[in-house]
Amino acid sequence: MKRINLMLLMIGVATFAFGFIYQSNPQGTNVGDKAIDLAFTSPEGKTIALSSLRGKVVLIDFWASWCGPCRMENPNLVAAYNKYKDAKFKSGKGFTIYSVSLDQNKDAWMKAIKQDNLSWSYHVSDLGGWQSKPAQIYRVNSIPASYLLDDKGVIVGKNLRGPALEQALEKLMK
Amino acid sequence: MGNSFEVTGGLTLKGDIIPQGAKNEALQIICAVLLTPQPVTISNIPDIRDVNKLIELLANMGVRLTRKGEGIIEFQADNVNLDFLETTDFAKQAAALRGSIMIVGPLLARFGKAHIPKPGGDKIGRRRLDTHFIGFMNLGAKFDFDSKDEFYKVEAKELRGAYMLLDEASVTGTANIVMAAVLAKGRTTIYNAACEPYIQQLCKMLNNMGAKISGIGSNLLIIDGVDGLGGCSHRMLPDMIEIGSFIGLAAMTGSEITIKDAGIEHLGVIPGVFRRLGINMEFRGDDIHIPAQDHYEIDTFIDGSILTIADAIWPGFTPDLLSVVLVTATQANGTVLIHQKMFESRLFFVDKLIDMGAQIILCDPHRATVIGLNRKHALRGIQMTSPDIRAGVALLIAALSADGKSIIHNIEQIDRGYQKIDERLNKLGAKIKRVS
Repeated sequence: MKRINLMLLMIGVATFAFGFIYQSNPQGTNVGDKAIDLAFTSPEGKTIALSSLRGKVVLIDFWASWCGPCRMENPNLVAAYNKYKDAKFKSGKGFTIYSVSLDQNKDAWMKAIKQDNLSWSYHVSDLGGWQSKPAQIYRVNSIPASYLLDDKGVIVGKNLRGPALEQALEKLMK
Repeated sequence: MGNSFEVTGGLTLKGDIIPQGAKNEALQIICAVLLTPQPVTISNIPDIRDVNKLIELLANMGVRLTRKGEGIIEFQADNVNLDFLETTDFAKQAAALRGSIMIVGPLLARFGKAHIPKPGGDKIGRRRLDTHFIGFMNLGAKFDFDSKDEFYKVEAKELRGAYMLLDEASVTGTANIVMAAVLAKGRTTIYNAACEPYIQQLCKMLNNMGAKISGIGSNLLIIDGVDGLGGCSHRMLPDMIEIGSFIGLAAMTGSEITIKDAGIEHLGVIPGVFRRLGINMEFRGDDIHIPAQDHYEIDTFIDGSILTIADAIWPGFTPDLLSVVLVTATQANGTVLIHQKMFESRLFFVDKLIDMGAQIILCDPHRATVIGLNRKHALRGIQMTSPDIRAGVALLIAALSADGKSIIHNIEQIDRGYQKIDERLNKLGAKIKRVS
């Protein structure tokens, strides 16, 4: 009887351990996946890794200065950033945006950042336009495209336009 | 612009070629601009007849167009003139263009009504539209066919999400129903949905615009309706049919060709099928490099029996490339059975290949056995007529490999799908002249 109990215990421990390993999310671009890391250059020439923002809630936003609908969406991003940048979430502290531009012209890119008041410091691009590497990694063929990541870098929402972004952020607070 | 090609065959080509944007994606994506009053910018639009006609049709409906560069257009459907749908001009334009059927879903979703004349297109067997209209009826639309003016009409005060199992995994049908369902109330589930890359592109673009579609890439799409969609900027994938045609062309003419930015991950089984014909290719980043090959040997099945290449719904091999595989096999070493399962009367063009000296047995309207010549002798140039878009390009490949001159008539059928094919291939060293 004792031996059976021991065996049951071992099976239990094994299942628990397996479940734990299994729980660590696979990498990908779907909700529930761990976001694939990106490390690209800022206008100042600094390499910024997406993973360096762990601990915060992060929105990856694919956009470009020449993309009208992206520019129309920017006021929403600015409002959300100002409202939640220092917010305390259920898990994680602060909200920021990792903006990936599909520009080809550096001046146009920098001008749009200034014009639209995108005051956060995480702007990257390889100036490759539609062929740019980060867009290929995330299989982005339409912009604006966005991914909301929790503090552990897991994707919790996609393409949050208009009020959907604030709603998603609110949900992470309660 | 003449309507025949005079092709001097037997030349070897060399160089890089950039595939055009995908025609079949363009037709869906361009119709989707009707779903929002906001601007939608589309790039990599192929400059081909079917696509240009659709753009013209939208312009006549009041969609504003701004050309932003080569192959880039901004569309804005903020002032759509629904009265245009009542005119004879509309009837004429829409009937001449099969792709126009896909304006019905967006119009129904956004304005509550749509109608369309029985559409035309190429002569590759009958294609019915039942899937589309049964789908709309499932969403609560009223359907009416006026046999006098041959118009299909649908109307709905409000579309309601529903479960549906499509009777066939139709690509345009799926696209149309998805575009209607994104603005319907509640959840729509489409089982047996088409799942090929261009449908995936459409769904992803709609999601970027604010739609809620999940299951993308599978045959079970779940769509939660939203109140409205915003604009976006979208780039189209390269045309997989063109890419496959260039692979066949390179092998058949013994040419070294690099296909740039081929979107390899979206090509499915296409490269694998050409490899089974013995064609070598190398992936360099996102480019496909095909070396010059004197001979290529057709694989057999592992038990040694004769290889069969058949078309199937995605992720199977596309029916649009079977004619290219068939013509490429005529100079291979080995035998292959080409089985065209999805359409009838698409294989009759093999008569012309036989006239050119190819060894082919047309078994029945769906199957042809090709016994490769292994370049023992080249095909002979002849005069021929292109019956449809896909056979047309196969005949062009045959003519480019043949000894002597060929004349291909009725090349509008080739121009429908392939953008400036003569100019682009001439840049690689081909000799194709437009004559009347």
